[in-house]
Amino acid sequence: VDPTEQRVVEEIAGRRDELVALASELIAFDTTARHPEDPPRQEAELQGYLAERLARRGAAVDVWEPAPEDVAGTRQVVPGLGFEGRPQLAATFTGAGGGRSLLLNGHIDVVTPEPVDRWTSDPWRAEVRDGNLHGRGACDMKGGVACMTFAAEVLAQLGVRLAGDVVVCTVTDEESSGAGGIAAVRHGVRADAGIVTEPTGFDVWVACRGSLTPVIRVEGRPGHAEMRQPHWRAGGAVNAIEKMGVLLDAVRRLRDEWLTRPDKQHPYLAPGTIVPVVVRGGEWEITYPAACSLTCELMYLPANADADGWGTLVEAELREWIAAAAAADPWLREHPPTIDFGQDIPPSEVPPDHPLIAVMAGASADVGEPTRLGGLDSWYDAASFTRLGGTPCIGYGPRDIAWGHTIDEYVPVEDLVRCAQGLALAAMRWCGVADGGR
Amino acid sequence: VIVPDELERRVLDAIASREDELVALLCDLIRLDTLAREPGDPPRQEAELQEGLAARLRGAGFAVELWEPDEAELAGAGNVPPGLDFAGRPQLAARLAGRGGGRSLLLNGHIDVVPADPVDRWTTPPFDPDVRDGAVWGRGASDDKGGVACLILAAETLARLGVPLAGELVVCTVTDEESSGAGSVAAARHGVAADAGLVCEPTGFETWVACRGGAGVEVLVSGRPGHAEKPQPHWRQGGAVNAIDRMQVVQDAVRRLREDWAGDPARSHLYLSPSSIVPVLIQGGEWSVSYPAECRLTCDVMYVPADQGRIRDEIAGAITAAAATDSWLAEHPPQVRFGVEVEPMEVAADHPFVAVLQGAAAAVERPATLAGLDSWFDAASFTAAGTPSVGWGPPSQAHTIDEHVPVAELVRVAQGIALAAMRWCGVAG
Repeated sequence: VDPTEQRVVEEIAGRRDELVALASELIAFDTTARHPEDPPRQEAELQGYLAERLARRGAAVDVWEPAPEDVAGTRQVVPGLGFEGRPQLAATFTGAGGGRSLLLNGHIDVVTPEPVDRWTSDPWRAEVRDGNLHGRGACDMKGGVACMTFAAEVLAQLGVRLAGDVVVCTVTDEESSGAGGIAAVRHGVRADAGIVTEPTGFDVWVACRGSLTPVIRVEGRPGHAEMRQPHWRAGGAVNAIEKMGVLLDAVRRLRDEWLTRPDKQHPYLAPGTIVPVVVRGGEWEITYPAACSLTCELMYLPANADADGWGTLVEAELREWIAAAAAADPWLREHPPTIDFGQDIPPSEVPPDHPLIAVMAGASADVGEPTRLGGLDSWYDAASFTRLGGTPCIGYGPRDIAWGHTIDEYVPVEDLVRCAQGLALAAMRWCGVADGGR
Repeated sequence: VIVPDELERRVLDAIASREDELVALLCDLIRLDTLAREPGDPPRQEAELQEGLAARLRGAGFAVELWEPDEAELAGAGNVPPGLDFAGRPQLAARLAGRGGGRSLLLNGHIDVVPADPVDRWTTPPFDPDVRDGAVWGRGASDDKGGVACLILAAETLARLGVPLAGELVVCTVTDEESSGAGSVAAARHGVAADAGLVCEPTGFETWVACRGGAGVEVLVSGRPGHAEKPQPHWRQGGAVNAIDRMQVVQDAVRRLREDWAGDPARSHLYLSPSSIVPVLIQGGEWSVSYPAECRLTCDVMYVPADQGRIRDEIAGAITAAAATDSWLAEHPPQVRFGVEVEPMEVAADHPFVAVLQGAAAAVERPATLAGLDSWFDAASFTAAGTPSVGWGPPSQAHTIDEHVPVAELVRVAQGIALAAMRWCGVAG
């Protein structure tokens, strides 16, 4: 750690109350993740608050509402999704030149805090207890957004002139569809590399899994459940719930197979899997069920993606697997199940020898948080910047993704400080410090 | 076939001559909204319908009682949902005293009907009756407003003609057959009874001497929720457990139980299908990225009279035994909850009223075969309370789109009922 870096680290430590206050301000905005038709909440206010702060420190700030067509044409975003009242933000601290640019990205949406009455304190009113900051989003990931914002602000305030640009980008919709990150990419937000400040627990995430949400539907033939039914070929009723049992078995066998199949293994990710999550069947208490649907959560690895990065090959594999199971049942053979796949959230990875990884790991170790490589078994915005924007992105942030989405969610204040310090050091080392820039 | 005597012939002719009145009565009944209820529904036009019938029967000389059963009267009845309210849903009992020395007869039908959805697939509106092609069309024409119209017309004709029945004739119309059977239980508990009973349901001129009992059973399997996108350790190490997957253990047990019952001679019945258990509703999972914390399976259970009193234990035992084979379920046993239960019934095929009814049916040219109903009907309530009751009535179009009943068959049903009443109760003098 050189003297300039030491000054930055100490400055951040000395102003920890400001960092906590920033995180608390962000938590106070209601930015609950949306269903597609929901009205906006306080996304615009939050982005406006950050824009004003970052502009004051000299960033060129761009706040914009993407048009629906800006995110159209992917398998990831539902058609027609609009952003009215949900602006995205990109704030650029222009470098002196000659350095590498760095993207710092975070999402501002949070999952619902319900059931609110089980929280110890108001989820929208951040509270420090025992050195931990509690509130919805404290961990996932308004804490991370506060860290990256504060790191950039402190560098600017101290007059540390970087050679490369630093782009602070905050987006909506990570918890729902990832549309905000895609919109940012399509708007031109990019850099030589990027850090998404999710709560990685100071790991460096180099990969994440993709997901599909197949809905398998089986039809039966309704009939009076209390009356004798002839064979179905003679017009008798067929129980859709029992026929779905055939496919539940097939799903279980596929999951077992994937658990050890070589193409479903990854050094930093859990194997590909398929988990039944919702089942609904039957219409009336004395009627043979006419229909049954099973929703599954299917996770797939970067190696399973098609040439364009999407899950079409996995879809085809599941279709074949289900068709084979159905072929063994006379009714299902003639009344084949249907599968709707809906949204496709694609996987992503960066090579483990990407130079930003070493920079980030070194910076983290220097602020007292030795790091290791890891991955996220679900999905985050790094995938969009990496795959669609030519900005290889890693994840790095405070503890701990396991506390995200929980009641009494929290982040240790000390982690916020070290994360901001680590990000500031990484930015200095990645972008380079311009001569005389202090 | 016992050929009708002169008095019987007069009664049959009188009924035939009142065909238009029978059709008009049925149409009036169809027009009144008496849709079967879900618990909590407000009353519809049940009171209006019952009051109309009461006025007719009073005019014909019956002593009529209309009453709204109270909760105390129904306490402990297995088929009555707790707290079921009869406000605005009166039951009717009308009695025509006998001259003495004869056997009494109960004539029963239900006034509630099942929904007519999808209404737009009916040729004519289901609650705006139409008479065409020699039939009455509308919801309830067959099940069971047609039957109600027949038994009212038969009783009224006997009274108006002054036929001196030796035994008492009791006419009883009830609500709630299509939902819980609470109406007939209320009536039986209120004291509506006779030496035998005829429940006029659309049996297609069969004589139903038995029906199965039934119960809903809900099985709740609990898993342990967790993030579906995260690898989960073994559940003993705190990992998630998928309630939908574990429900398969219960579903397998249910299927095996049904197959066992189907082949069990102790559960075969001359007039009924074997006991059965059919999954009818399943609901599991809460959110698309969480391991399902709960899964609920509802099954419809129907059972033969031989299974009465033991069916619940058998089901609970089979599910417990299956759960014991699964490590999670062994320690987190499924919860088995039985809902309302209706009891099975049977009347001996050699009960004297069965022979009387068979003879009357043959006299109206619809010789009856003995049969049973695989589901349930109000005869079970009256039989259990000491009035051996059987089903007999017009062709079945129950619960169908474009439900209808031929007018000529309605006339035969009314005639058959009148004839059976005369022969069972006896004619004085």
